[in-house]
Amino acid sequence: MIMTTAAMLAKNSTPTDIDEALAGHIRRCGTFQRIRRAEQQAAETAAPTPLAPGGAR
Amino acid sequence: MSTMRSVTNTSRREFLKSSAAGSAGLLLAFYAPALAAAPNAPEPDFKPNAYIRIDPRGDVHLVVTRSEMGQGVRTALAMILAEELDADWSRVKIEQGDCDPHYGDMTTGGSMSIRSTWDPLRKAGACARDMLLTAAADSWGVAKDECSAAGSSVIEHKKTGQKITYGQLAIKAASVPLPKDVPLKDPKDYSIVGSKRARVDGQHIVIGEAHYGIDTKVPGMLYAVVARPPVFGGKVKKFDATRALAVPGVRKVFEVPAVEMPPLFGEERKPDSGHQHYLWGGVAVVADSTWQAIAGRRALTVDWDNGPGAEESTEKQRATLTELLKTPGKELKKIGDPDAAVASAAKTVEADYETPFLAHMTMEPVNCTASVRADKCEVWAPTQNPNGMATALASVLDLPQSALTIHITLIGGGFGRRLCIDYGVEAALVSRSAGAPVKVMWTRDDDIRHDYYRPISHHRLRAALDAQGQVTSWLHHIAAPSTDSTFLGGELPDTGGTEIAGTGLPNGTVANYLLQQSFLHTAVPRGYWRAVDTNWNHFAVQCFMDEIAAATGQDPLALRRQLIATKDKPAGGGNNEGETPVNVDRLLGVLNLVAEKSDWGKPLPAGRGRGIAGLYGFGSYVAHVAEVTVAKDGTLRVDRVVVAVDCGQIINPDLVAAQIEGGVVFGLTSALYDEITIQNGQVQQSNFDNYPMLRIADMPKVEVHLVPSHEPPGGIGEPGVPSTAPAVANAIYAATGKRLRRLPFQTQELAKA
Repeated sequence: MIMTTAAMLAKNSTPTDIDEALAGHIRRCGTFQRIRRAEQQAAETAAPTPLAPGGAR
Repeated sequence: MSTMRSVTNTSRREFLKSSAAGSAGLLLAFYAPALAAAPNAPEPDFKPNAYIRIDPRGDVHLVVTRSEMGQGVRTALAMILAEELDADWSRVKIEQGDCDPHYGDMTTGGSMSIRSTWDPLRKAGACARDMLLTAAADSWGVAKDECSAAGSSVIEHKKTGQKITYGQLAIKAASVPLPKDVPLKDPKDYSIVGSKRARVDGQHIVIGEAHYGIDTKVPGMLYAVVARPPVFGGKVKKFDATRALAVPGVRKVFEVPAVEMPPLFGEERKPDSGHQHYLWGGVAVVADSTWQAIAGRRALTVDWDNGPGAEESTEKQRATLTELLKTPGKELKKIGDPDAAVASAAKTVEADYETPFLAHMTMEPVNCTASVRADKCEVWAPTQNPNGMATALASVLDLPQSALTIHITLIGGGFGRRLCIDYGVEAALVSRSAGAPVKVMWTRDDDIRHDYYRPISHHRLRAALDAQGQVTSWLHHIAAPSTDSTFLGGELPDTGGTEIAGTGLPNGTVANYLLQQSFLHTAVPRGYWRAVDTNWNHFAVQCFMDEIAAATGQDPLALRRQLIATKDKPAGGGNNEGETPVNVDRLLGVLNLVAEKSDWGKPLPAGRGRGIAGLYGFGSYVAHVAEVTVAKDGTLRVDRVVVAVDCGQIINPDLVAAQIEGGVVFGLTSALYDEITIQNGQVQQSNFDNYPMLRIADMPKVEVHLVPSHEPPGGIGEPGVPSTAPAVANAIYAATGKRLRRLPFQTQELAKA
């Protein structure tokens, strides 16, 4: 699942359909909505941070 | 997270050794009462069976004597200890205890871990803190009552502004006599218990460093798979290993005997007929790798004696269960005069329900590694039941318990499958015959075809109503195979056992009540499946309440309020004898909360509906409202599930919510898709393609609302499951006017002509 996420983010840093990307994964713990949140968070963290004016971050 | 915690496996011997010689710091052994202890039995002698240790570096070590299978027990137990100890949370280290009789009952099941350790762990933490206070006061030469725990493993003397850490005090505190009657904290002062904390082993798991049972590797280890009888109760007639032994890497092929195993939880074996707790038996193929072992098994020829089990099929079982409901069953509970109430009723409501056999399908398939030599046995087991496994290993291998070492590994899902001990016994026998350490691997097919299944069940419910629409009589007739008899034999039990869990609600709130049981005899092994018999009994009860509401023109929530609140004190309303009776206020509390949060009563568009179900079980109160959409072609979608939970004192709200969310998905998966069917005595399902799991795209929005409480903690691993299916069934009725009384839902019946 982590590898799928990495592949998904490499293709598209702002994923629109996490469910589709993870459709092939089978889980028993049932924490899908936490996984969705984590995927969103990973996407946000992995996205390039826009530079502030003047180049300082 | 700045530092990563490690979780080490430790034996009590190692732990004591590292704690000896005075330099190790404060070691505290405390007594955790065994589950089975009778409530009024005299307190046994002080017997250390669980340990905490504070070392001079300031680390607090807790030996966890329960199994971690994703439910977060390591985290929760550490939080309870850290709270009473006023410890620095980041310095609490977890050690997984090996199986040891000194730890007492190590079973992880029945949603009991927090309930059984809450008091002893708090007392241990409070004792240790008190000893540290004594040590601090002594070293400063001040009065103890002027010293206080400042949190984060620091003791301070406010008058002088002196501070000292637990690590600095650890060695001195070790010589302080064990205090008596140390007061526990007032819950209003809690700062750790009740707060969201990340799992102590979370990072380990995410980066792939955690070792599950299946990751076990020991020097010189071989790999094995076993060809087990395809028909339950079948035996090896003869086998030909020639082709199997020709497969590269295959070392040995031999028969595994179908030995008799003791009951699971130290019970007495019943002398009557019907004892079925035998190892599967079969033919083991031992090789240098799992793949070679599987290839060897494919090349193996086994002639099986299928036995009488081959006659069984789901079709025949369903027909038998239908017949069983036609004549009165064995009377388990009777209140008042149910027959007279039915005879004088203004109206009666009757409905039949049915649920299928189900498999556990843990993500980590069943596996076990064993190393058996003439005089000793070492096992690496993903087990929820180390004590039961020890008893069985000692019995089958004819070794004293002192010759056994059972390492309890991290578990990739248990759900009750790993309360059974078959795979441990099997691995030990395979290792003994192979003369080497062996990991016995189970493929997914092996796992689903040789499970201990949640039993098939049929139910007839009948209610008598008076002219005002009040329920005057309630009859529930359960027809099912007994779960317990798989392990104990015979038709068990009479009353108060596993089989009647979940029938509790109307029992005691209705003046006339009758509970009957009829047994289906089958060779299909039954076992404990998350929330166990509560699942199917509760499904029937909660769906039937909705049918009564419809028959009397009442709102389903209003009917529940009226049914539950009509009596001042429902007698024996608990699911099982000995369980605390239902607290009506708490049950109404979760029903009202879930109604409020789910917009109960607010109209929905055509084709959509809401359904409600509420439970008292495992010491907790949980109510669900499901919201569904049913398309014209019968396609069912569960859009939203709102859950209200009163589980008493919450240790970690995030872990509680996760268990409930997971419980909803567990309940939904089975209600929507799953069924184990039998043909010619064999399980027809083989993998996830024909036993599907709910996928991420079908995940409804699950909202969990927790009731703040300082009541003693209730269980949380199981009570999220049982109300899911009936809440959805009731929502389907609200959306379509059709009752689906069979699980999994036969949604084709919902298609509009």
